[in-house]
Amino acid sequence: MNSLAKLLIAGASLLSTAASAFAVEGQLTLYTSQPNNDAQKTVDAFMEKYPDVTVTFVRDGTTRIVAKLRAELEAGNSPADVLLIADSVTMEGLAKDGYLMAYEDADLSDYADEMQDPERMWFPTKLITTGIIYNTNAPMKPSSWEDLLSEEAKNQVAMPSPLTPGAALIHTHSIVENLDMGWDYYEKLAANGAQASGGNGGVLKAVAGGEKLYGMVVEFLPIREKAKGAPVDFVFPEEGVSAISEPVAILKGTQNEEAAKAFVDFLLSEEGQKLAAEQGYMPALADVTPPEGFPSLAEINFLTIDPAEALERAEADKEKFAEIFGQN
Amino acid sequence: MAFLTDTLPLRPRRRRADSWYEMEGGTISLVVIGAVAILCVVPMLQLLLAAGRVMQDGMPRALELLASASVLRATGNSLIIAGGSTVLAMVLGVAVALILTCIELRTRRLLGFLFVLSLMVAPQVSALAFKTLAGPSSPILNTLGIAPPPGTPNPMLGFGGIMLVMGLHHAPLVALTVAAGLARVPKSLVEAAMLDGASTWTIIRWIILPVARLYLLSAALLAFVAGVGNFGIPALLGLPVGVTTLPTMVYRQLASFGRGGIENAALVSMLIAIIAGAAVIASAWVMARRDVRTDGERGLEPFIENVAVMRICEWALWLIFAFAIILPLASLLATALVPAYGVTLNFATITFSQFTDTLWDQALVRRAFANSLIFSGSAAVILAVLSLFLAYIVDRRLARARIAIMPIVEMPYALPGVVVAIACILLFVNPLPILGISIYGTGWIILFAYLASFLAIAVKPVMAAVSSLERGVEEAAILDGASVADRLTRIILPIVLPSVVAGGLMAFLIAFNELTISALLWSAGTETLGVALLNLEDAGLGAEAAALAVVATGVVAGLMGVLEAAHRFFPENALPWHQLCPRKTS
Repeated sequence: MNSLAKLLIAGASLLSTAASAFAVEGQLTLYTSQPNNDAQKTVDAFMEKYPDVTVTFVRDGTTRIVAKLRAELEAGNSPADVLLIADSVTMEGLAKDGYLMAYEDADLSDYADEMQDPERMWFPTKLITTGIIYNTNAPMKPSSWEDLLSEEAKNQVAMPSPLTPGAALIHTHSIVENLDMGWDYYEKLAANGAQASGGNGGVLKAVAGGEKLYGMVVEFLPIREKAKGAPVDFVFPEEGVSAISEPVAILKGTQNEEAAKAFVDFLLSEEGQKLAAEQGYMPALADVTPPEGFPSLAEINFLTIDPAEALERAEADKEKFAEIFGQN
Repeated sequence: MAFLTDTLPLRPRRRRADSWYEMEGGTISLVVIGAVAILCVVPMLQLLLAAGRVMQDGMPRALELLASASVLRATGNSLIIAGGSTVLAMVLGVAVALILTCIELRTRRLLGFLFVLSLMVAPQVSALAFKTLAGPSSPILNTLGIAPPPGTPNPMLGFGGIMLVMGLHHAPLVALTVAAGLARVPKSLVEAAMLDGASTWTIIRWIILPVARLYLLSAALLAFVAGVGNFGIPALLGLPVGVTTLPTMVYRQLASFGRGGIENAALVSMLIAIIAGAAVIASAWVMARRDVRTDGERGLEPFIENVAVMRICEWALWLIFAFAIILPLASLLATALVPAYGVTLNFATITFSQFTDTLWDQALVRRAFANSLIFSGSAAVILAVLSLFLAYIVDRRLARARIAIMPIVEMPYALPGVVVAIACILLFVNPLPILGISIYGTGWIILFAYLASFLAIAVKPVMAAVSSLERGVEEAAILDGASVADRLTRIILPIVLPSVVAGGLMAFLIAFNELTISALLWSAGTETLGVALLNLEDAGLGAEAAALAVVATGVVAGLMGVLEAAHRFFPENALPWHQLCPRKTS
């Protein structure tokens, strides 16, 4: 009986997706911080499923794309319908200012509730952790965050500046909250000649190109480049990794609500989650197998934070970081 | 229209029966003057107004911002980098101009072409090329086995690299200006000195250089302005190591703070405009003082015929060009041929996938190509048409106003792209009056900025062609009762068409490669090639970025090749690389 009910529900939901697929058409503009090639693949897969929708996407680092979005929203003429950026803290900020649309009916039945926004403004689509990348020619194989303070790593560490991408800000907050050293850790890094600038892409290039030997970076970049043959590898440090969830949200001013909802549904569906795994990301849906090179979700040790507090402290964290690394 | 008469001294000094706009061709004059005013005057006024507003709001706040540590540091960096690159550009540029003008090398045309190509290659592409050439993962150095060990910082990142790349990039600019000066050195002076038995070095040191000194000074100022305004090179080689210049600072302010940053950005742009403007005005003042008496005579022609000197110079130039131009481009190509950035290039790893699919899979890249073609193509066409009218009106109808109009036309080109872009944002951030629509965030704002910036380039050859036209034919046509429209389309256009095309194509080439303006003005769907390159690089897609740079460079080199092949149809010296190599007449 139970299984019959399940079957019926599944059939009904299939029908309803089929019906809604009919109404989904027109233009959809996505603002995202995903690297160009991944964003392209996501958009292409979505358009294959919904051939009547034409998706245009704009890509920039989270901080920059959100700055652009906010400027346009203030001017009242943003083309954006959907937003897919690195972290939920930035999303919280936008939700607080009333720019996001709640999507109450999103199907979250397969997801753990504690990851979700109770107001259904944004939805985690992946799990992106920040750990340590190293060049395979490097003399030391790092295993903990503290290794980056060692003599071998002097002047050899690159990391993204929290002033540019969203992940880096959360990462900074996670490190400061969880390591015993707190801000001292960053003070020591700075004293050890670590370089903080730009985004995760820049760190990958510096380490893959051998200009730096170690770096703090989001895991999917080195794992994927390693598979292509680049001389890099990634470690999940002993103390744990920080994590962001690359949430997706619908803008309140969207011109195409149906297509926007379809896009969110697509990312959250098993199909969308498998696509994320294919692209080399850790899927948010626990049932989907993570890509090669990733440990299973249970094996990863996380540095935990309180998102609300992270949002509150964001500006102060940025300032403190800028002060330590002498940036404006 | 009040501002028109306020800013342009168009009122005739003596009152005639019919005022100037009632005369024949008055409509064209009005349209042309209107276009110049809208393109070149209004945005700058807007910038002045915005800067004025900030100061009015609170002079202390404005001063505090301009005197803040970050602005001071960026200003210092900009001045150091512009100064250092100018020195290098002068040394190389003057040497190349002298050698190509004074010696009839067998390969001078090719050398001139290559040298100008290195200027036409986008600055961000040059920067990327040198960056891939020098690091521990350099494909060329690794193949030769002389790459620095892993863990060595890339020597191109930071001050030294920026100055080197910028100096090499601006050397052709110096060479072109100096070549124009050398062309005005009277041939007779050199011949007289040679009859007296003066050595080659004496002639160069004591005759040629002193006569052309004002051009040298002007060239140095131009290189300095170009250095202060350059965005692509410090963006790629400075930002990753925290070296900010004024233009990259404006970019960062706008990118990270959105519209909240616009007022500060306007203020910093004014600072850039003041620094660059001072140098531009100094250069104009210098050029106004040049001795016009030398203009009538036959200019300098190749006179050094010593075979040993010829050989050495030819080899030296090829050696320098190999290191400064060919090797970086080769390295860029090699970087585009590996599957992932950091992989060593060899027979096992070589792949063309970046060119065949990876690059074109991305809608961004396809869109960027289409956008750059559309924006620069339509800008070129519009500018070509406008140039014809502008040149005609300025030469025939408003000759007395020329001295006022031409500097206005040249101002947006002379000022750094950052300044023009910020001025355009300020101008269009609110919906257009009357029409009520906003072009902010659309392709139109980029097109507008291109039109304003590159009008000076398009009009230059047309102006030269129209000024040198015999008036007799046109006067005969007037007697036959031909209207001004008839004369323009049937008589003048056919004669000056090659110059119009050359001007349009030069504007196209420069706009196609442009990054500074579009980096600040792009929006969803209006990314240009420059923006796409910066974006791929920022996302860590090094091999893809290199592939895109290779394709863009191929397009530019191909177009220049087409121009060279068709050079017979253009007036002499319409193509910049021909200016470098004057022909020997006797």
